[in-house]
Amino acid sequence: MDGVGALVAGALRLDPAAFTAIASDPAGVRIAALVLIGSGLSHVLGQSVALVANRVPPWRFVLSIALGAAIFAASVGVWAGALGVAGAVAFDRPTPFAQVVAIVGLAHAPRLFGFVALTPYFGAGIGAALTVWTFLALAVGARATFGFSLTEALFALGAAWLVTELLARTVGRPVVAATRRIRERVAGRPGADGTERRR
Amino acid sequence: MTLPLPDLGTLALAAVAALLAAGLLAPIEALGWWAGWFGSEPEPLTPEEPVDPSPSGWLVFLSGVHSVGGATFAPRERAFLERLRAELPDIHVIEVFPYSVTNRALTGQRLFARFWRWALARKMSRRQLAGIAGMVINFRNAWQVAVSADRRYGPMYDEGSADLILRALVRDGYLRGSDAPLVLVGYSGGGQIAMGAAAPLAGRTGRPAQVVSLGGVMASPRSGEGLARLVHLRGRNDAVARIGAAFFPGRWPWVRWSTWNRLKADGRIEVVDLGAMDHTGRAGYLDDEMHLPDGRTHQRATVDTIVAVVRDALRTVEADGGGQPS
Repeated sequence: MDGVGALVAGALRLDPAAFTAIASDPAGVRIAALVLIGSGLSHVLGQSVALVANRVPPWRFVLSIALGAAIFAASVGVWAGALGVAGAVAFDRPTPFAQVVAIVGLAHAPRLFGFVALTPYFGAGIGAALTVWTFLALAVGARATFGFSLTEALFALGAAWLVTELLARTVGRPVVAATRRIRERVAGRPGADGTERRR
Repeated sequence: MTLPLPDLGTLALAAVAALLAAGLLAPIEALGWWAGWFGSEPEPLTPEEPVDPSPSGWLVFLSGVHSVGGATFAPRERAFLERLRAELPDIHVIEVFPYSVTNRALTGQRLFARFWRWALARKMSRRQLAGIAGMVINFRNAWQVAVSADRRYGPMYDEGSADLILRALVRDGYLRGSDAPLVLVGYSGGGQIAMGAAAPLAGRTGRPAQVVSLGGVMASPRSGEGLARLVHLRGRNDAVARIGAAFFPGRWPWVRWSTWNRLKADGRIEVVDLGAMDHTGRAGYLDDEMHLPDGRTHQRATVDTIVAVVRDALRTVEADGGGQPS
């Protein structure tokens, strides 16, 4: 499978070959980063109504979207790390971190359509459908790369989610709080990023 | 050399893509207005000329998704409004274009005004194919209805609608704080806009509004705030209103916890059967040729029902001891 377009198309079709191809591609991480930047920008744009509702000026709006995309890419990186740890610890299938990042990044290809969540009335449903699509892509990617069965893949994804939530609520709290402060400073309004505070 | 004609599948795909693109662009006007991205504030609220005598109340008509500007172009709608004005001589009946929070007619000062003028010309044409091209106006305005019905955009759009309605009222001589009742009549998609504007409008006028939905295509309200009463007039042959109701889960009868169903149980939402009427056109609510079994034309019966709601609102104000502000 050659080219970024073909890999993205394969991931969108939930084709396991796309994930095995990116896992063995030396440029896999770079391709995944490209997909993540695009999907991050699109996803954050799709969730940007709160910025407008808070009357954020246009330049702050653009900066907030860019920052949101960077945070999105970083959080997916953390998630990839958690999946790698879950695969190694729970299933004894250690996989190079770069490979995990590559497949997790590519699995976020459906989020390239994240901006479509801006569609009036249907947006929330479209956003939910994209979440399911991304989750399915992650499951296909995890199966193809780690050699998981379907149950193992679902378990590993659940474990990775649990690890990231635990991290965010414990040792990651200062990072989450700092991220929030930066987002609010860039947007110029408290709570303008539309995210809920963790308690 | 002739270009090959695209196949039906390609055409359908292009149509869906265009529809989706139109949907994505639909909230921009309301969002930009809300965020103040489009420049200065509009002119202050002042009446254009003194109104004498002061009317007993105001009726604001919000047209259906076929409209392109403030004053309706549809002959049946014009005749309906004339009859309404004749039946309610003490009430000011005004029109507001409900599908632009910046109060710009589609054919007015807009980037795509030429395109909308072209579409309007097709719509007015008697040729069927041209009429289909004119439907782009309906799709454009239907997306604005979806913006108002959306939980994210709706509060901002509805603020804009309320602002627009209040400005139209003040230009017509309305004094804020007046006890004169306000009745918003929303036809088709205008029903959603009228219902959505009720709460923010009540915040501005200090009085809850009465809403009449004429075959309204609308979601369940976000709350009952600012809504004194909603009378939903529905014809038995009105497939548009029926499909509209099916489209919004809050309108489904078994969703008992929805605001629509709770207000209906409280008697604040009343559904009135207008008989065997269609949504529009011949046999529609505004048609003055088709007759009901009681001998009245459809238009006559529709006007009678709206007049009854307005008279009811006036009686309520009188019973509350209201009047014009000093």
